[in-house]
Amino acid sequence: MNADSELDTLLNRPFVFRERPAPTAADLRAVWRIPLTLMLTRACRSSQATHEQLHVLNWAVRSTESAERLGEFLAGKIRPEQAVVRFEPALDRTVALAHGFGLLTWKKKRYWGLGAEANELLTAIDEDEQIFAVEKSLLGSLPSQLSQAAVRRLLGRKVR
Amino acid sequence: MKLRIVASETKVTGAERNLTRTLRFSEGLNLIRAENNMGKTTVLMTILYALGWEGMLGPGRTVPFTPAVTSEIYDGDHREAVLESSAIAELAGVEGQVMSVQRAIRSERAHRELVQTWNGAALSEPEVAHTRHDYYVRERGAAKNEAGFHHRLAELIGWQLPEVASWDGSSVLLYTEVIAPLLFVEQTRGWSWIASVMPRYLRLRDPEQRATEFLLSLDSLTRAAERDTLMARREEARGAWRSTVEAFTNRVSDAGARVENLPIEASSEWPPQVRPVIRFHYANAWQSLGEVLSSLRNELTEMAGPVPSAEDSASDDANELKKAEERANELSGFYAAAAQEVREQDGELKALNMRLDALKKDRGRYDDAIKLRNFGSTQALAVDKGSCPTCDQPLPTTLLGGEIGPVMSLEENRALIDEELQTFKAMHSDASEVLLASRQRLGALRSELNETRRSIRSLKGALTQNGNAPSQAAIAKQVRLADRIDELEGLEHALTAVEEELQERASEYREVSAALQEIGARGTLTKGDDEKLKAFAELVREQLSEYGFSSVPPDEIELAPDNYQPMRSGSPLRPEKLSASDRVRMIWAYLVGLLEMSRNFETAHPGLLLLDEPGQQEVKEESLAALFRRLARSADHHQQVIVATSKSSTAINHMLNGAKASLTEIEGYALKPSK
Repeated sequence: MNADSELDTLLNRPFVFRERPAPTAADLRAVWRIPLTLMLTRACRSSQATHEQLHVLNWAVRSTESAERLGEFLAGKIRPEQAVVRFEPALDRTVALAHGFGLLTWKKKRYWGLGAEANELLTAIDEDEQIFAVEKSLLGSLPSQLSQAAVRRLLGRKVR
Repeated sequence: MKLRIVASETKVTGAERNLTRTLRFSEGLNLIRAENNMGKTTVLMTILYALGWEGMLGPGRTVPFTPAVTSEIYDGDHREAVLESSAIAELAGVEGQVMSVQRAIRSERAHRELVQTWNGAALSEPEVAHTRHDYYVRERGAAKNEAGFHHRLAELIGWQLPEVASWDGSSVLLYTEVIAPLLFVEQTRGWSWIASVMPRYLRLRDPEQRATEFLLSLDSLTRAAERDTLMARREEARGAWRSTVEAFTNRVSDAGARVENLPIEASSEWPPQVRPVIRFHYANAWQSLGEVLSSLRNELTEMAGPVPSAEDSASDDANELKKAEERANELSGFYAAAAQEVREQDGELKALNMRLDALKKDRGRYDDAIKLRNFGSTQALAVDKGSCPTCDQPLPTTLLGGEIGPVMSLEENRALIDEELQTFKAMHSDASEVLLASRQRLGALRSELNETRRSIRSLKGALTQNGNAPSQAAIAKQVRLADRIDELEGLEHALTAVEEELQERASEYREVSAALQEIGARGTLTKGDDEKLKAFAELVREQLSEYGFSSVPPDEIELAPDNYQPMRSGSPLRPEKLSASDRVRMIWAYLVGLLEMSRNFETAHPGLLLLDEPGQQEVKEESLAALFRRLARSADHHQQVIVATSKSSTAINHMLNGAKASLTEIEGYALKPSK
């Protein structure tokens, strides 16, 4: 049997193309990201967060370094170029979804607040120390509540 | 242990009027009756705030009061601004101690963190001059420092606050705010489950468990502390072992050698079967310290005797110089290549570390995601159902924006990360070994290169020196040999010292590990604890029957031996599986059970319970009546229960059915203009 006929035999069989499911990072999963966003909202004064506050906190809880950067900025110990908040489009999608599920509510055309069921979900998260352990600890390391004034200072400052 | 509220006072200074409400409490059941929204919660919050316990409600600094106390008085037709307000309470503690406390709610002058106290009954005997002491609260050190109010409060109650583990593993005091949720049930969030309002931001590990153990004076609390101390000692022993080994390995490395069979991780067995050995890269092979020392000593012995003159050794020196120069060139090449290799391997290891960190982080998030999805089955987070809540179209599988095709399920993705983690860990361990060996080789090459360069210098010197004088090269070689022998002997002694040190560390490690094993084997509960928990469970069951608990048969309810939470057939009783009114009954039974336990057992319960509107969730009147009658028995045991309710006084009297209680009726608003 020559090489051509071997190839023919192979090709004459039926083919099935199947798309394999792809892996993805957990922070791009809505089921993980929405509860985190609720935790960020709660971390703001009166559990109400502006869009900017959410972006700043979202950036801060991504790593120990960025949480430290924010802490240092708020304590006035940091040069402007050292804390560059990165805006993440996935957060906007998360917020939109959470709003759809009624977990976030849009208040006074300015703030995101927590829906009634968000508090239940947060209580369940609080009860389990293992869940979001890293993020809880990062949030805990930040000054008690992130004010809007601080966010304005962070996002609106002039870089020399 | 004792804490009684003798009296409380809420004082508000308005722009035009002063408002106040003073209440006196006795032992036994104290009922405060008022219509809804008339300020009964304000009265209870005054007590909570005066005790500095509002921190149990959350980390915020906002005060738990209505605007009538903090910003504006409005009685339906008249508005006026609040200028100042404060909470005052007269407390009785152990050994007849009486202390009055005052804390500003709103004030231009006094900080909210300041608690003024008087040693005596300042409310009951205002004419007497009592000694005043100021303390601070809601600040770091309020429980530990002498000037901290909770330190003083614990002293008044007779509490010895134990140290417990925090989230980061360190030991912290069991804060009184963590105990408070078992003594005070707040109306808005407190009635969803036992200690549902728990200050988790204080970062104590298992706070409900620790607070219950403390109030019941269970030995398991001491055992948990003992275990935490031992774990800390074990960690310390591990760290000390590691630093001893690292310091020695670095020293050996600096000498251009490597050490084998010296484990970096602590072990309880020492010395190991194969003893540690130091190896040198000598004469193109890794030889043991003993072998190298013996070769060097032989070389030195061979050189003994008169030093040859420079002229006599000139021809040998010239040959040796040529060889040494060739070797130095060769070694420089090897060294540069080896250094490049180390840099590359180091970079590779750093990349592996970053990848491992990212994988571990992602792995943790997947664990969270799987748990959260399970919460979602009962709650609003129905992401997994896959359709958009607004347009009902299929949801994108990720938050990336566009659709990227099918995505792995959470479990599949987690399993994939596990596989990757395993592979990367193996690669990391291999890369670390390779890097270590390369570094050691680099060190050995550096030593040899330096040695060869020194030899070249002395040979050159010998060839140009006075021919009759003793050869500089021969002298220098002898000196170098002697120095090297000294250095290696020093290493040999250091290894012996390290072995002795590790012997001691191993014995400590063995002792700590054995103690930990023993604690693990005997369990955390002692016989006395078992008895207490049985009696406590019995009290809970007995009350549940009395209160008409019906979601599951009360006699099937047990308390979990690990966290003391209610369970049935070995599984925790999930509050969402119970009817809303049965959740409330369970909270009554649990908290009253804790109070009653102190009647028959040695416990740390202060004999005080405060309940804000226990008649929640339309719980039946018979149930509430049973609770009131049970609470009324606290007078026989000199305990105190304060209950705020909006039930009518006729209903209350009917429910009490002759049981003894002191009823305070508040007509209209609780805060009234002072006379």
